[in-house]
Amino acid sequence: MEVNEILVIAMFLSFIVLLFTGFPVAFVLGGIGVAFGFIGYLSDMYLDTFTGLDMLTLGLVVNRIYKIMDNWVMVALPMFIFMGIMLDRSGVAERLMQSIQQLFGRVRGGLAITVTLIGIILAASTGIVGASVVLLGLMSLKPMLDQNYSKPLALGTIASAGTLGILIPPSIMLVIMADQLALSVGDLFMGAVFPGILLGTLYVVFILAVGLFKPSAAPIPADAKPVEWQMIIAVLKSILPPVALIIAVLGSIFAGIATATEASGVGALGATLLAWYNKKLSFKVFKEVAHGTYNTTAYIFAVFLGATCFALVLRELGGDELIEHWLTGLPFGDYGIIICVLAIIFLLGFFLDWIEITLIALPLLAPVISALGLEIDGYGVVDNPELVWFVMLVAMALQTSFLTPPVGFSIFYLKGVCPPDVKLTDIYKGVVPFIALQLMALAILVAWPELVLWLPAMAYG
Amino acid sequence: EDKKILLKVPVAFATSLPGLGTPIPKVAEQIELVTNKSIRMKVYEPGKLVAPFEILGAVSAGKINAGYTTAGYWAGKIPASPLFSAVPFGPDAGEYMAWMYYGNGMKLYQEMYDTAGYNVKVMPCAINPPETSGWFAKPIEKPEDLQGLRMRFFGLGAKVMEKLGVSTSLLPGSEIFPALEKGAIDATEFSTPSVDTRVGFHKIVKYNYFPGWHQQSTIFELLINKDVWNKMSASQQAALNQVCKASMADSFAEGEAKQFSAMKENVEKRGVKIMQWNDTMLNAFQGAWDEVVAEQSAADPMFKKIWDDMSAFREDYKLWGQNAFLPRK
Amino acid sequence: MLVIIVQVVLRYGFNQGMVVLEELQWHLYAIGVMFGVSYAQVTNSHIRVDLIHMRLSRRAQHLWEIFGILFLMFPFIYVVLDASLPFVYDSWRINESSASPTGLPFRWLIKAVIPLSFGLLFIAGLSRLIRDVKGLVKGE
Ligand code: NA
Ligand code: NA
Repeated sequence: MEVNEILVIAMFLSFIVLLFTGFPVAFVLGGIGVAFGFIGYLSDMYLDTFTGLDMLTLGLVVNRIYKIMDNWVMVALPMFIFMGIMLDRSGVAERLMQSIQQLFGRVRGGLAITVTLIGIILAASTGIVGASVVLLGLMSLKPMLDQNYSKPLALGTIASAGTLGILIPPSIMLVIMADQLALSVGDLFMGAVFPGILLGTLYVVFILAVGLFKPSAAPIPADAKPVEWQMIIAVLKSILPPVALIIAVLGSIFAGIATATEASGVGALGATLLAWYNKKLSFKVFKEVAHGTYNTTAYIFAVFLGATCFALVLRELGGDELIEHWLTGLPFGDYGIIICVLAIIFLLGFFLDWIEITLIALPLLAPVISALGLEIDGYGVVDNPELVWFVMLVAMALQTSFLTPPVGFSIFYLKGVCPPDVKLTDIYKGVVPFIALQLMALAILVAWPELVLWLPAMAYG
Repeated sequence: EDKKILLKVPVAFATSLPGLGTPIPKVAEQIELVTNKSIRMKVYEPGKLVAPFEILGAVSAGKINAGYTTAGYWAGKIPASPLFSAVPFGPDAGEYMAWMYYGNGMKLYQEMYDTAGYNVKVMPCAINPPETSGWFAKPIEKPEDLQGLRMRFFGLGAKVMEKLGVSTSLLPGSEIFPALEKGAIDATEFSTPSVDTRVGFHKIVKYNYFPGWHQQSTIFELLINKDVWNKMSASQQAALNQVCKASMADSFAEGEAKQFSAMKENVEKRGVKIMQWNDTMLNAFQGAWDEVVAEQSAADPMFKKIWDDMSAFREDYKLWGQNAFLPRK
Repeated sequence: MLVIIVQVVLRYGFNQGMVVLEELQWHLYAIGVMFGVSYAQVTNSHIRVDLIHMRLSRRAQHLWEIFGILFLMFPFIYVVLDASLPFVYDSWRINESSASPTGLPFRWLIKAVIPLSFGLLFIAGLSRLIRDVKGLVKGE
């Protein structure tokens, strides 16, 4: 084995080991990056490697940090977090959850289904997973636990529903993938619509099944009543203001009036007005909301800083080449290779977050897929249909990277807004069935590429 | 025996974009063959090592030893730099190369970086044919039609568009389509038809305007850290120079070869309307450009120096240029 | 937030000011979150994988924290500080401005946020280090 390969593997291993010691993730990533930068430098001197790593090269971290700062898309993140926390404090969110749930009053798992539906709506509005998970977590975790849902089901529902944001357009991940592979962002957005709906449907069916077979995990509220007209009217009344807010946010994006960033500002302002309307707004509340927003945004951002250092050094050590080398050596048939590639992405998702996978692995894997010469029908409209389809498979597989321990960003986001008695292990337990559902959706997409390619062909044909 | 060197080359454009990014992997392949592996190049896709707008600083500081990009991206750092990418109403590829290699272009190009205090050696390493002039939702017949448009635009042409009441922003390639789709911008320009088609603008806006008055040709540069350059042998330096020069020819040929099929498919399969600027519009662009040049020259001595030299060369070239060629239609 | 609202009003009310405000947005955002990183350090709210950590003795927790700060956090901060000073200086030297024609000037100001915020993070880390050493000595 080459020295480079040993270093890359050692880097991964020490990351995993140190991660579990409980030191902040951001500094574990950053620290290991620096340490292996130094090790690479020494190995150039004494072990005849050619990494080119030294103090100067490590300095690239600063350029990369600056690029993370210079990203107007991220500006939306604190806005949506603010909107979420403010909605929570305004008391509107809880009532919204309860109201919609009344419609599902007699359905076991009604509240969880509500969360999934709202998750789909949020996914369509923000495209930012962190914001969706945080908002859903703040809005729905307490009501679900109050209603004696099992902790894992509640947490799993929130984490996975919030994670739909990377698949359902507008999605930042799809934008970056399009950039990496020089595909049309429009094709990817359209291509993701049915897979997103498919996944949401699977979640709902699963929750219904849990209600059926394990009623204690998803209890019906004690005061559940059959649906009556009066109730519907009362419900409509109570959900009107927040729904108006969401429509304002969503609608302004879809109608092309505002960008996601601007819409996030509108949402933040709207939530504040709602709190004021409900007489829940005070300077103290505002201060607390701002404080919570600040803390949450900051620690998420810190992970980005550490990760950029780690990824830089990994790349300089030749980590990306190593992965490519392994892949091109596979002795399987077409679909065998595709399944291997997806399995690798799935495994990488255990340790790396989607952006590193998108940036490192995807450009290496795509040519392999293109070279297979698969006959995937793009209806004569979609360019590179096999790649568009492959990207959807990858996006579906990467959903899991948000949900798989140890580095699942959705898990971290959710943990950030959980009451202290919720353990990471509770969340880990909760996401397992949803990961299984994602794998099922993945298999469906492998079998029927039309699910991905039909819509972009119709939309732009 | 030359000392072996590995050039790590982050690039500003995905290597899959025809003419824009495709030249550099070929350069990497060729330089290894020509130098019998005494120079090797490792190409990094945009943002993998360092973001496109950070390449110049990183090469100059020695954090990386080379980079492939275009000078117009340094507009915020060196006001004169866009003159070495593309000039509105400027030279086409033949005339541009004439000035670069047989006029004072190369000397001024290097001098610009030296004067600005960047420790880099620069060489042109690819050149593209004319770009399209942009994609619009409706026909643009008169200057008033531009008023209030929000448009993605590159380089000095952006200042011209601003003069005509367009609000411009310089979005990176990957952000243009989503911005267009959501209506954050109404129109855009990016590159040649073969590149634009891959990004998919035709799906939203159907009026594709020509000629690209703002980019009749576009130069792409290879930057090498000067300390690294100075340590190379004369043979290694010559090899890099020659491979880049060969890449100028190859990229131009590729660019010229790949446009007509993209345009044909655009019209026949994608409902694109190929439009020509009328004289009123071209005159309006020209007038605004004259104002922009005057302002830029007054504001920055280096800009004035380069502009004056290029203009003098082009004035002389006219006698040849206006007599030698058959009309294109 | 205010900036965004102003931008929306300006863009649709008066059809202008787009680029400057967009840049102001990420400037303010970047300043906020960069300093937020040290704030989160002070409030001890950085995300940790606490599976094993929770089961350790207080003494072991202190020891590990000290090790982490000295050998993971501080080297990372050092690398960033060391490289960011020339980075800012270069930007100041050439009076760098935005690459968009109507963008913001004085880019070195925003770049200076990197060394400043990491300097602050160092101080926050140092204070945490001192607390852990104290805790270790006193056996808390
Ligand atoms: Na989304
Ligand atoms: Na352009």
